[in-house]
Amino acid sequence: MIRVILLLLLFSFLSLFSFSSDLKGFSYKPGRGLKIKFLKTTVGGYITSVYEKSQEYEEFSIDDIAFLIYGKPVNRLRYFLELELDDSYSVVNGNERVKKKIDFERAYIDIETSDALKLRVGRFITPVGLWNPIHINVLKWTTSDPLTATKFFPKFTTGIQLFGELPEGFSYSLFLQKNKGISESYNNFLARKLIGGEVRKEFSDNIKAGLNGGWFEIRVPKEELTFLGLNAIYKIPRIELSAEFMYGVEKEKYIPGNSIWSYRLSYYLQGVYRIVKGNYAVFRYGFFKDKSDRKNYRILTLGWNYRPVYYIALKAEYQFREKKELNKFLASFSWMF
Amino acid sequence: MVLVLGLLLALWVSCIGWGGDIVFVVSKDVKVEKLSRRDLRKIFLKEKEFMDGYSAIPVNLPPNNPLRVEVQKKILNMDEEELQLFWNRKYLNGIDPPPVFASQEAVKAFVKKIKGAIGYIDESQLDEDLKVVFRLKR
Repeated sequence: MIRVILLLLLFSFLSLFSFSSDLKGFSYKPGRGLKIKFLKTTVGGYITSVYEKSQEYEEFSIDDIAFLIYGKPVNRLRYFLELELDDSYSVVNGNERVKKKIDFERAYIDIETSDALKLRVGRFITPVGLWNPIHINVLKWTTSDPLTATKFFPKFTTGIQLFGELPEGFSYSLFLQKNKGISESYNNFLARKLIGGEVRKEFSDNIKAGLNGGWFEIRVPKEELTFLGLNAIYKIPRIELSAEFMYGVEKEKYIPGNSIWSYRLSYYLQGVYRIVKGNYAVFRYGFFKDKSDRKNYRILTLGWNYRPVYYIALKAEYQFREKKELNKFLASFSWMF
Repeated sequence: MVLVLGLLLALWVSCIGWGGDIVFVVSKDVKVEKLSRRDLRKIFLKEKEFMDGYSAIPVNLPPNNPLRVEVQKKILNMDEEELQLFWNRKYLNGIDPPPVFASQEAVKAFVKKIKGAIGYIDESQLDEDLKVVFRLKR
């Protein structure tokens, strides 16, 4: 525990400094990484620690220690690699646990033929919805994720993605996986067959909306899920309003030739208000219904997000649930280096 | 007296950075003739990456430069805090903000040399090797 705290303090101390040395071909800026100019490469990362407390559960964890390496070595070609120690250290109800496993959070190359057609190959964030593409703690408004973003499609895809910008403010993403995933256990669903896409429309600088859909097969337990979603975001200075809706049809294949059909649906509405510089109040109402377990989940989240500088985020939130004993407090501290 | 007033006026003008229009410029060899505000927004936010078949390379003036402040407000439609949060997201997806050049002279030299480069300067700094693709009224 002492070693972990010392490590956290060391990183936070280092992140206070920025230096630039063009002569040596290096430059560093907190939260923007170390640029190695002669290699056209940037090295950086982020660290997150999370505290969670409910009536019968308490956990402190070093949630993410992630290192990024990315660059554009030649015109029209990019690469991106993110290595992560996930839940590397945690204390759950007083019991300490240390995990020494490194996963590939992302590993891909992009080939850019034009703004309208780009190809991504490797393991990447599934480009669905508003929340999933920014699920990294330091970018999110709250420590927790809405169920809308975690119960309908795999967070990561290992395969190919076609994406680009179209006329009239439209953009698209299409993705396909038909293989074993890279770091496949480090995902919310164990899927080896996945297909889907999203079309987005930018109505103005302030309003965007998206429509998505897809299908995937879960290996264990054997299931198929077809999903369809809608999302929209409205941003003006100091205020951000967003909403996502997802609907999924499940086909459970416990016995060959005898499938059970079910459905699940979820939505959330979220508002973020910048009270004063660097201080944001967050309100979110989320709903999730899964017909197969005949349960409805309603979660009201009230949160606070404090950014003393752009590369550090401190967050606290309280979740109100239908059963009082399930109410939960979460806090996190994350910074980028 | 008139001379003193003139000097004071000139000093005031230079302090607030008021000048002619802000012009977005590319090399005269680039075939693009006009860009819209939305195109420029996307280019400077690295969401549009090509211009006339070349990789678009937007370049910025230093933070707090009056021209940059105006571009941020009227073209990007974001304040400094929003912009930093935006670049956080880009950084974690492997995309860096536009490089910063110390002066309008440096922007001009870079834009002339690199096809696909695009910068903004005061219109009084224009010369014949540059092509204006957008004019931002001040």
